Amino acid sequence: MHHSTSRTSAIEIRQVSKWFPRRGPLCTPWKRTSPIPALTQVSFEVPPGSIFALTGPNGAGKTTLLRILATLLVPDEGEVWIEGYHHQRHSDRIRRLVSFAMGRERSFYWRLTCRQNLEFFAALYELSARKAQTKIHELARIFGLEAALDRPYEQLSTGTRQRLGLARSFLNGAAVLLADEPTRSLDPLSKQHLKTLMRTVSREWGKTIVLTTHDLHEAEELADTIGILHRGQLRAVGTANELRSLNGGGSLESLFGHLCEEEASAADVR
Amino acid sequence: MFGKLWAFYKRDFQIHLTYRFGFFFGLAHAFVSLLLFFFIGKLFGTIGTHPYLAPYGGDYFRFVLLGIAFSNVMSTSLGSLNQTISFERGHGTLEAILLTPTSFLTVALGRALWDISLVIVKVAMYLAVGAWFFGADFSQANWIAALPIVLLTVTTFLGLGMISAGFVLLTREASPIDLVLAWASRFLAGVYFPVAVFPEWLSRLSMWVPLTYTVDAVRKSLILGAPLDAIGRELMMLLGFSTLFFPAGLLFLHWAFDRARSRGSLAFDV
Repeated sequence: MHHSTSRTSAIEIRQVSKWFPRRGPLCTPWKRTSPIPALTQVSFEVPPGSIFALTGPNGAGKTTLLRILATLLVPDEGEVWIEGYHHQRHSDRIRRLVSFAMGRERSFYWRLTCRQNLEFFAALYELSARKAQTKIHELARIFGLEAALDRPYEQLSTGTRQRLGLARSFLNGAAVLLADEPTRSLDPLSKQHLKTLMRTVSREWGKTIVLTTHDLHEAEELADTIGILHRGQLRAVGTANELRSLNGGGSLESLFGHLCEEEASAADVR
Repeated sequence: MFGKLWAFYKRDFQIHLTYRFGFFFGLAHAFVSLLLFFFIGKLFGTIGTHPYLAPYGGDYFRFVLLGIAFSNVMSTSLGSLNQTISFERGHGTLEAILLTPTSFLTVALGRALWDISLVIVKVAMYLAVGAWFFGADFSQANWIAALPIVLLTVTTFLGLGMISAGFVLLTREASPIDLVLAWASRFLAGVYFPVAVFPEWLSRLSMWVPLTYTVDAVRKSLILGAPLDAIGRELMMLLGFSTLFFPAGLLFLHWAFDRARSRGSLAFDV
């Protein structure tokens, strides 16, 4: 039996580390180069139906962690369990349980329309043609994409592309949604709409969400738990109130600054 | 798997439709390249039937037309997977596809299926241009015999193409293998001239090149109207190459994909 009934968390990450190989100089390929650490001993759990926000400066390892959860990357150390399934042993099963809204524009076919793009990905998620059409219309309504459905992707605004990316991540009805900076490039109205939707998806539909953001207010507003990642290490994790109390009741911004500066000055000394 | 292969096929057809002039440019390219060889063929015609061309009916234009047309099957089968990976990675869609429960083999074959059906149209286009505009005579052709030749050529070179694609995945650079192999094969297989003109050692080398058997068999069946049993040796050789290269390519590509997933080289922007 693959499914572990003893695991109560939707996501469980234990001591995960990841290094990326560094390219050696072309003229001295025999020289060994040390790999670049992207994540170091990261551990946390996400309860089912909750929202976990990962925040941290650029290059902190947020996207790398999401890619590991999405099975696009294999960790070098540690273990990941999603809905009781082991990351590497049941990667195919996990792909049916997890969807990933990649926070970038380059993940669609630019010459195809939104509908054609969604139809293609729906087929890869094994939806029948009829189910796919129903789902596409439903998602177009939810994400305000009705007018854009038959327009080529290359003609869409950045915000519409972002919404299409999110709509795609809902195609397979996954239990876990990973979203890399989902509100980036959205206007304030769309941003608010999306936040409401995220809450609905989590509270009413019971989906577990892990998102990354640079916006601490957004993290506090949306997430049940916030993790602050810096230089591949999870520096702090807890509810917004727990994090504030870590900082002696100070703001999240000052805690964030404190954690990142502390590390930066330690690095400078080294 | 077939539903997904169809989804890839439909997607590529839809993308192809957005390039409105592609078909006409293809036709023009076939015409112009054949024009050159038509006049070279005239030269051979004026000095009488060349002894090296006698086994192929004596007409240089028909000889080279079949060589060029069917070497396209080789170059497409060889380069298709390689180009698929570069295309999907460049568009950022490789990761989006691999997030779905779709095997890497389905992704690779999905695109290859389209490319191969397109190259069959291309071969037909070359033969039609050759026959209609330049008077190539195929009145004795045994068209049925062309089917197993094409099938075995495709499986042989897809296998080699998978090895090339594996290198692309690992190195994140364009693979020179298919380009070098394609041109070396054209030269050694006698696409432009009969291998009988080679010195002994080159003739021996050409016996190890799968394309040699493709062009030889196709010339025998489409110029001389040879039945299947008359090209049995060529078909057996191609079957041997297929049996060797296709599984080897599959194994290597699978290994390269796992390694790329571990090293994070599936995406273009890691």
